[in-house]
Amino acid sequence: MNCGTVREKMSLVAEGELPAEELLVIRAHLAECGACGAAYRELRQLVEDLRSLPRPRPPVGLRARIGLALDAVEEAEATERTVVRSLWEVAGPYLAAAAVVAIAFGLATLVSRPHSRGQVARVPTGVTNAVESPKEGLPAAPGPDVARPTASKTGSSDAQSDAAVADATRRIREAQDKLAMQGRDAKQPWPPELGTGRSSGVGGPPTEPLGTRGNTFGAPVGGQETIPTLNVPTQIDVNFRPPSEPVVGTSVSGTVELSARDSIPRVLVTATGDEGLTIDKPGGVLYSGPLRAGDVVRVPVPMTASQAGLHEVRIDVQSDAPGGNTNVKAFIPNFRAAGAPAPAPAPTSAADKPVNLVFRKAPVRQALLDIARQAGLRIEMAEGLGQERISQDVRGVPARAALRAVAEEGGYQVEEEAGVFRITRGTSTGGG
Amino acid sequence: MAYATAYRLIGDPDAACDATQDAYVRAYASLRTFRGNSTFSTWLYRIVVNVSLDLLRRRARAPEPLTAAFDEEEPREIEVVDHSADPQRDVERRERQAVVLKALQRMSEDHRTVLVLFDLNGLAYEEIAEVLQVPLGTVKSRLNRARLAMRDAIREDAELFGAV
Repeated sequence: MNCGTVREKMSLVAEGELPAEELLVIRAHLAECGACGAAYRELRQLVEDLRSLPRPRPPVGLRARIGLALDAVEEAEATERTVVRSLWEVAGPYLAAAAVVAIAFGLATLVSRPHSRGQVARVPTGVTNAVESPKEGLPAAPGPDVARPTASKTGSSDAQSDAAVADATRRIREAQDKLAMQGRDAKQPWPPELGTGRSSGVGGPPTEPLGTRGNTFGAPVGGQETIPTLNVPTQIDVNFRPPSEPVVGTSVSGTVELSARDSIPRVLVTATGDEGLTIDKPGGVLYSGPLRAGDVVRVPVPMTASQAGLHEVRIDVQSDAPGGNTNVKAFIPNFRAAGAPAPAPAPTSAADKPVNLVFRKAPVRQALLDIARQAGLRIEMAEGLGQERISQDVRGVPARAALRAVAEEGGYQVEEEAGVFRITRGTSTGGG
Repeated sequence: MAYATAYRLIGDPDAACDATQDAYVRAYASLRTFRGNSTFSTWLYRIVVNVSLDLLRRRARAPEPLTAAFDEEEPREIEVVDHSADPQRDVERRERQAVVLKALQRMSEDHRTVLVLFDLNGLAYEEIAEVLQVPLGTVKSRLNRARLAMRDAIREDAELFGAV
């Protein structure tokens, strides 16, 4: 074997992807030929270096940016879809009848001639099945919904195609979420499959089938798939009180308060801290047990911060009761270094401090967080809320007033209690 | 994966953001063209790669600023791995990484793409063949040529590397 041949296969050798015999011959050559041996070692080193390159992390603002862009596409699509649907409502029956007749006479090519996208795409289920049977009847038309080469034998191709779109939509949303997570909290495997987060009914596109998400509760065993009741208000109230004296390096305790409208046999409450904040409980599990209606269960949340400043705690509550999964994210802005002189300024004075921010179409949540960060305030807002976008100029506005202005524009209200600003929905039950 | 891929292909964080956004928008807008012939991720990769390469071509007139941006950006990222408690080795590794990144930027589009997909993103040959819409054999030979070309490029300007 000569050097040229060996070099052509070097990568495959490195990947161990050659038949054993050939591999032996090449390895023998590499051992004998100094130049090839050196080239091979360098190539392996290169591969190792390439693979050890750090993974670039998306900047924090990218997710919001993409979210805005996707929303714009969504809006445009929704408009288009409405137009197409009304077109179909008017012309559909005629087209469907025409399609059936055409097939009956073996004139499938007539049908396949590209009309407008919507018309072709919306051929009703039964007809679609019928036209797929003739071998060359309907070639893969340019219309996106029609051609589906495999898996078209059973069931309705429209439904499958819609399901595929829904699935892809969900996945692109998830990918988008992951993108944001990579930047901050990639380690977090939680929650397993909750109907919380983005899917809590806020900001989801109205056309998206609910069944693709949050199917955690109320799913009957082996029965017909039901649509989870995403808009049922959470039946568990969760409040987080931050530690009163948050000092870096020592275990300090916040508190979670839980209450429920109806008794729930078992709830599981866990906490997750951000990168610099450890929850001093195995697995972050704070409580596992019953929650009776009317009771308030108070659970300590021991935590240790490794650095000063803002930290974030997420409290997850899981149960098998309908509406019994929820989570809360709370921010503790004022962890101070162990030897630091005075405690952080009183929240009231922090709230009077003017902030200097301008928001343009910013998600409410992000805007509130920015204000809290700048002024050193504690805010609490349930996960999934605050996706609405607002524009506000709060330059020189006291933080408290800025919070209120932003919250109100987004349809939220602000309650201030013991230095914590709790952001809740303005109209208590979210509209469907 | 989208951002990381775009970043490594383009070499500039801002442009990578643009490309990522563009890719997601295109993917979202054309979800109905996703047929399930390929996996969703392969499909998305294809869009990301195409968008990134388009963007690169449009910006082909300005290769130098890209390299500069690379230099500025890299040190911020290199904080992750620490297998070794040996600071000297760590420094060497970082230097090698910087050399590798520079060389990667000098590779041809085809070579850089296959390296990013295979070595950085860990895609299988088959997946890359789907992403790039080329035969499997082409992926394998292209990867080999890309690695050798990169090794040559590194040889030209890095003493550090030869010391292995």
